[in-house]
Amino acid sequence: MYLSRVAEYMDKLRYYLSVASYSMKLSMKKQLEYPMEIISCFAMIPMMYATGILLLYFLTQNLKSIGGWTFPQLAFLYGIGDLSHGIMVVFSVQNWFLDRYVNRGEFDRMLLRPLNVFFQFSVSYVNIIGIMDVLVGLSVFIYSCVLVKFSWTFSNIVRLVVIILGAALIRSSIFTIFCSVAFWTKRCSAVTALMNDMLERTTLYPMTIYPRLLQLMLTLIIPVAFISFFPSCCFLGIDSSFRLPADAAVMTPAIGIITFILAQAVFNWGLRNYESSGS
Amino acid sequence: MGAYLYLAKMKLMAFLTYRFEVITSLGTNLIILMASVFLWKTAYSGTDAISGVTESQMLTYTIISVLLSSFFSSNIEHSLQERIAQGNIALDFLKPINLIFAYLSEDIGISMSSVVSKLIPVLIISALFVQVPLPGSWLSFLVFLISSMLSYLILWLISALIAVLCFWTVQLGELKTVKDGIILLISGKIIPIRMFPKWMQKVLSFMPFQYVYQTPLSIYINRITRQEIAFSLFIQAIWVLFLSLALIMLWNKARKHVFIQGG
Repeated sequence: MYLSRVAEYMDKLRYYLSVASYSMKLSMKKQLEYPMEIISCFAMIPMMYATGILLLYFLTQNLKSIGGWTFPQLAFLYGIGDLSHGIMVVFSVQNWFLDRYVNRGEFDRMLLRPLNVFFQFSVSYVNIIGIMDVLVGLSVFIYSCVLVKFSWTFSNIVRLVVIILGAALIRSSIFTIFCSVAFWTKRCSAVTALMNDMLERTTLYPMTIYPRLLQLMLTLIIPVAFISFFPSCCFLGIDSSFRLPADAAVMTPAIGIITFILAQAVFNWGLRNYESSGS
Repeated sequence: MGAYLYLAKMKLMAFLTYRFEVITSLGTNLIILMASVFLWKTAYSGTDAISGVTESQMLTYTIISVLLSSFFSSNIEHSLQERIAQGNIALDFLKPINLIFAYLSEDIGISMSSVVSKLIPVLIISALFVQVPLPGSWLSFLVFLISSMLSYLILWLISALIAVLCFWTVQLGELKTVKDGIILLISGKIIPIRMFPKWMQKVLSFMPFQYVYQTPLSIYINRITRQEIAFSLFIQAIWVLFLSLALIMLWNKARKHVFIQGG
């Protein structure tokens, strides 16, 4: 009885995975049609990440520390933020362009298929250029690990992996939630820019430089603090001035899953408002 | 009747959409302002002056920097890329006007609209919640205005030079973002160049970027002597001249290129 149900779920999972891999492969092939653009972006992205780390370096040269954080600690904070950003950019950058899906009537096709639309949207694009983001983010992160003398024990590595995946999920869900506004306004580029700047500014410096009210908002309303601030505090043994119910390795993925469920709900709410392109 | 109501609703929605965009991009400016203000407040919690700049001078520097950046928006990369990709550029060339000036005036128009939608709101909010960003003196305010006009031209010319590359590459990809990133770091927009290592200050003095933000901002908070002011204005003017010549040369080359492509 139970066994047959498990087998049924396994079949379903296998089916979803096969659809996802097919759809992602297709999107990668489409991008490889224009190799020059990919090559040019591969050269540019490292420069953009360099600006963040250099900014922190120059600041700490003059100020010694920012809110009690030294350069290696800030680099570690930036490293976790960067790496999770890179992973988000590979798998869910299509959130930024949700307005294009709405205006071109792309959801018409997805609505006709007997499959969850949010799932189809999530697997409709894999950003090859984002692999460069991941590579650069990874090198910044490894560099910062060397600076803070990170101990590479098995449990630490496992904690890191879950934290970074959870952080990427939080980032992606924040974009889904806010960019879903495109279902109503038909536009989301300004919201994307706003969210990108917000996420960049709030993960670049330790959250303790902000007033308490803002810290609470960044923890409870838009859970940015779980992306890199709380994990860094846990690993580096810095007081975050918040008492978390569990280790960041539990909290970050848990918050990731909660925001993801919320994101799906908001997306589906928006989809009910979707009225195709009309042309 | 129903049709008119529909039209009215459409107009209203278009207006609302536009207003929504305006409010969100104002939010972006406020976030950058807030992050920098708290960063400097934390930095000054132990000291009175960092490289000779007081806290209130630094906050004024930050506020004016955000105000300038809300005004300094260039759309030319985007509009030229679209015109080239869709072939409308061929029609533009038929018009009896100077296209470079036409694009510049379009961008100035956009900047003017952001005076109302971004500059004034940011100014009011920072005056209420941070401090009133007073200039060092009335004279420095006047010189600041001249200097920031030159800054605008330098920044616009850099953007235009990047945009013209479109004639060869059609797509610009990440170039605009990279330009924005470079400007963020080495123009003095977030941290004054004076806080950089000496050798780097030397290298940067040969590039146009610090003349976009650092120069007008230093003039505003009265951080540089009269001789230095005269000298920086002179260098700004030289950069405007040099970049304009470069743009005209590249533009004339590009004109020939567009005909080959067929538009």
